[in-house]
Amino acid sequence: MRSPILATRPFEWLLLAFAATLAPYTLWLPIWYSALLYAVLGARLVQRRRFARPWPGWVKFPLLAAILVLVVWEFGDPRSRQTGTAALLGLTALKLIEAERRRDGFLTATVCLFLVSVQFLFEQGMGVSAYMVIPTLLCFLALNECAAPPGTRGGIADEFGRIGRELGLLLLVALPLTVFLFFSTPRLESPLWGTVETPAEGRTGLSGTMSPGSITELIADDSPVMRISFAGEMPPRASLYWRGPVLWHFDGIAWQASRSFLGRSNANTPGPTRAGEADLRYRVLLEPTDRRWLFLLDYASGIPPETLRLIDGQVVHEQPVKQVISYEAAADLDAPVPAGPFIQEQRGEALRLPPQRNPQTLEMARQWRAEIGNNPLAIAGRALLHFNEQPFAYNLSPPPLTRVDRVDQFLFDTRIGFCEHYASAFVVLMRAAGVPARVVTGYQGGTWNPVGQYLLVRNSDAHAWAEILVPGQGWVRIDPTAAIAPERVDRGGQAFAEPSVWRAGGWLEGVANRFDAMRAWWNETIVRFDHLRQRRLFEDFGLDIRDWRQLGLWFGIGMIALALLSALVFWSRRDRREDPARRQYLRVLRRLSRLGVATPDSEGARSLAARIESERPELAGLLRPVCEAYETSRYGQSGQADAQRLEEAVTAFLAGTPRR
Amino acid sequence: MDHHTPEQLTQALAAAEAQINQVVLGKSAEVRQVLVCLLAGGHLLLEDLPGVGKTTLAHAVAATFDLDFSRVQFTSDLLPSDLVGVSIYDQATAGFRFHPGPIFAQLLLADEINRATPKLQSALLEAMAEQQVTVDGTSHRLPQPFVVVATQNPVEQSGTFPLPESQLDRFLFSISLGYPDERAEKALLGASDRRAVIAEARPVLSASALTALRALAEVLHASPAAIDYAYALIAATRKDRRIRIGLSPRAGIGLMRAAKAHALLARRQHVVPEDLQAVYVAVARHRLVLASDASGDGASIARELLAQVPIP
Amino acid sequence: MDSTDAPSRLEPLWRWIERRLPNLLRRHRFEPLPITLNQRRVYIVPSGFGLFFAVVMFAILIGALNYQNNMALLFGLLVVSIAAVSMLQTFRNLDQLSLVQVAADPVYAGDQVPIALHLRAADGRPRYGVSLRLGSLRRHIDLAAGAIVVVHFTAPALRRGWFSPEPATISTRWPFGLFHAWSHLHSDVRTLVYPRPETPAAPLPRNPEGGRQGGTDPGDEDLRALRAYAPGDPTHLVAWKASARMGELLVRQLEMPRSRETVFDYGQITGLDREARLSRLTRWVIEAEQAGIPWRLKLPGIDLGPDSGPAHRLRCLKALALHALPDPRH
Repeated sequence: MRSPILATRPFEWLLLAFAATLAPYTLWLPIWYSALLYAVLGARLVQRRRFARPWPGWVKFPLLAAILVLVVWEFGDPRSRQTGTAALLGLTALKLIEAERRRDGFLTATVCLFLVSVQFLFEQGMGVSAYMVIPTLLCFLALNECAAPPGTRGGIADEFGRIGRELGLLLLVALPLTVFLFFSTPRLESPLWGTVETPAEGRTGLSGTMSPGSITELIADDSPVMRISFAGEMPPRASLYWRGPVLWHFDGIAWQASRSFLGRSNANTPGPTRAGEADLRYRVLLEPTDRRWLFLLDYASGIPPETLRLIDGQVVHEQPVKQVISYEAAADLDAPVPAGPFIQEQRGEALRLPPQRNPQTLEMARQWRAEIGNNPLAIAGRALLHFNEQPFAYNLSPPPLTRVDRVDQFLFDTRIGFCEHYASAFVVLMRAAGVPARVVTGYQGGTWNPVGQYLLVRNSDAHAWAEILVPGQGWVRIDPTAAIAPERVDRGGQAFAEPSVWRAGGWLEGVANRFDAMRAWWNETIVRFDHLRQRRLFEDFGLDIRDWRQLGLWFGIGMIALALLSALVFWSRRDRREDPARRQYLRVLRRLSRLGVATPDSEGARSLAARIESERPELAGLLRPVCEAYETSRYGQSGQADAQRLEEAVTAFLAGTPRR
Repeated sequence: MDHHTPEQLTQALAAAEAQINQVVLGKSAEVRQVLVCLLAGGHLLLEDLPGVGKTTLAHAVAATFDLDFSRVQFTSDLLPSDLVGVSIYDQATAGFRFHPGPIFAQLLLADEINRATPKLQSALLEAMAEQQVTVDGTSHRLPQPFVVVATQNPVEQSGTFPLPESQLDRFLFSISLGYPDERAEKALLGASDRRAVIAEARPVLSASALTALRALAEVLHASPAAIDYAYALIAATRKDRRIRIGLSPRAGIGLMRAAKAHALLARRQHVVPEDLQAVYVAVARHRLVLASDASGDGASIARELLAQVPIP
Repeated sequence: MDSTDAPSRLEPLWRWIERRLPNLLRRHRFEPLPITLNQRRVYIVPSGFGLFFAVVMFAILIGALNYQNNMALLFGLLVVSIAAVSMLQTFRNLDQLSLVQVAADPVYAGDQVPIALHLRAADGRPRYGVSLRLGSLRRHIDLAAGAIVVVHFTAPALRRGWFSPEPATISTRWPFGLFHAWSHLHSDVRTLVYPRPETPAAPLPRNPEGGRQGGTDPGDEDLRALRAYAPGDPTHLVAWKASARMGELLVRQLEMPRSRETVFDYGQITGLDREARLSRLTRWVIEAEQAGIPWRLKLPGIDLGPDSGPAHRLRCLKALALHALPDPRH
């Protein structure tokens, strides 16, 4: 038997549901592909309004082939998640082209729901998640339309007033059920099968290199990087250096990570993993970066499990951070980073300079070395003094450096720049003076959110500083920017950024804080809810989730609670808002129908009384006063006396008739 | 003949109803409908076969309420001037004098209205709507009260001009008399000539009393619950798939007026759902424009809606 | 199925099952109206699409758990919750629905019995997308709150006697088509099927004491009973062939002198089997009533009349319909 015809209305809801499902994908799909799919949908809508017929094969199959070929050509690997998703989107659009039967409608709506879930593999942010409610509801509306048999209205969307109420009731029960199931579904400790690698998708954030302008870009970017809560008081902002990639290699223009084994991620270095008693303890909720590195305060005396400490002191995660992750760490604030192993290789790398560059800088550094001798800290102090004495200025829009000897140009000519210029020039000076030095990038400071009681670090807090190797101490942090513009370190990078209404104080900042706190809560509670946190949650209830009996008990209790809720929602009496006279009358009607008397709603009280007179004379005597009193109190210009009379008549009727 | 208090008026109304029922045998429900229409100040459309007593009924009503009665048999060659009258040059006064046509009556029986040309139909319907006729640029006020009882044959016949929907809306009520039942018909056969009975009928209510009764009906109490129900009944016709055009707001006002008149006839102080139910089919049946694929007629669908729409 | 057929030891069990699940067992049992659906008589299972949907949702949930993607998990659980709660709504769409009236009019054998089911939502909630099936016919309806909806069916009446419409199946998949809920409605309403009137009609018996012999040529017989047409004579009495021969309108003269009556006697019809005799008697009853003749119907053990009018006709037709048939209910 063929499935019934898909009517126009369900079809158009379906089209709308798919269009809404497709929308978030357009963020990363190539523009031509999104445009193609939407064009196909639009053409299909117009065509089907004219005449309901599937598109002919000579349109469909070339389109199918074109979509598949273009997708593979665009995304390359046919087995990657992107390729598969893009192809599924295309196939669903093509299914809509030929959808003429109800079963096509059911299928497409289900695939749309599947696509909604697939979307979360790419993005789990609060905004997108909130948006996904729309396609979800649209899919259900489309299903509702498809399920209505021919000739009936059935559509929730059609009569939103009345049926929308039914949908509302449904959600009223479904939402608590969802929340209950979400927290109760046992999480896997390790995946059943391997995770699929996804390429980086151009997230902003520290890049691992420092070329002119790379940090300015970040400073204009307000997006959050991480949120930190401290076990105790927040330490002074000036000590909050969130260590990121360490840059060793300078080619005269850009700084990069070490090309030798020093910067390689598999180079592990032993170090303390358990913090000392006096150390600062904190917890970080890191937004996805698609990089392995974590940002920790120096010196990281306690590092999270599943992480490595590299030789240059950076701490990296086992896998790239593709979802919000949280970690706990401890720091011995402002302590130098131990030099670690391979000290000779480190020294060699930390003294290397691009040959034949910046003669003026080299010359000045050599003079300092000659004056001061082999005292790294004193040489560093001399350099900072130089920055202070000379007319150096901190500015986020410095004049561009164009000469081959860029450090010369900066130190002796323009003298205007910000952290990347100062860190870069400082390290070059140190190396030229024979002091091993390196650039450290990361974030500095952050914004305290009083609503969420946490420190928010944004991309605009990006910073670069220097470390010099002091024999006997290790790598000591020197921040030349602090010498030029101490307020950068005291008040954060935003002190120099464009003024923004969201940070100007006042209520807008309050709104921004609240919103960010909500986002943090979302990431913490929903996105990061894993098996460990689940176990902890259940421990709060005194339950061990690994014990099946206890879990079963928990589910049983939850289900009973939800059954009570649904009974309350669906079978509650519904004449609460009725007119008092009508409420009295309905009691009588209910009794009558229990006594086997049909009481159609389209029958008036007067007619009912007349009918009962002949059908059930034994009830008529009691019913007549009820009907008369009801009629006058509901339809007449009634007063209190009528209501009283009705109530008495109803009481007499209910008392005088059997319940069954 | 003179009635002053509302009680006297309603009592006289009951007497009038009884008298009409003596003339028109076995049609008490229909007579009730006609009186409701009269009290509600509406015009009446009778859809029936010839010979079932339409004229007798109209005569009896006219005699009982002391109304000027005139009857016009509509044909395709009847001209508007035959109905409304004509201005003729009068040599004595050396000017045009208006000779009023048969429309200048208080109760006009327009027989087989669908046989008249659309032009004549619209002349009549304009007179019904505006209570006046215009001849040669001069308006002539029609006598008050002015009630049209129009009849049309239900059968599709050649040479007829069906009334357009907008004009059907001018009729408050549409009812069908139908054949009398067995007892009434036997009584008819055995009894004397109806014309003699009508001649015996004496006026029970004056035309001015009718006006007073209309005013009484107008101010009868309709509670919000009754208005809700009236609205539900009207709204149901606009939602039903079988109906292409539902009841107009004018029909809604008519429904309420008719229900009040019905309540007055039943000597009630307020409108109850049964009043609305009693007049609903007569108000709706000729106004509903059915979808092309709908089965049944306006009356049967209206009756079905009555069974479906819950009383709020 | 019937509890009385079950061994006596199982009887308590059957009774228990019947009490708990009346619908399952009473599919072939008559019930008095109104029949109101409740949780004991509404059955609900996932539809085919519901099963497919469950598989897809299972895939989503497993994938989300595996990739530790909490948003996908939350979404999947939301969809599963909505689907699960929609089961309640599917059930509620039938619950408290009431079959208040079944109207089935008498017909002649071989005709279609019009059956009108009057349904009403007893608890004042509207219902959507309710399907009814009776025999091979399907109807789909929505019910406004409290309204009575009349659903028309027809069923062939094959044999004379009592006709009980077969059980109607009421079902719904509202709101999302994921679940299929159904119940059977088998009311005790029955109607009469009269014997099929004989065609072509045999002429009415003329003689009160002697029924006509079947198989004689009616033409000759007619000639003896013709008279000139008088205005008002029913047209079906006009003897067209004879009229054409005689050149004036002639009608068959059926009216008997006042003192005599027409007797339709089952025993006087010979040469036909029982059903054919009943068919002929049915035809005569109909014609006599149309012509306004008083008649008397004699069946073995039954003697009705003489009388005339519709009530007498119905009495006679009922006797003819039920002649020599056991009442299925007793």
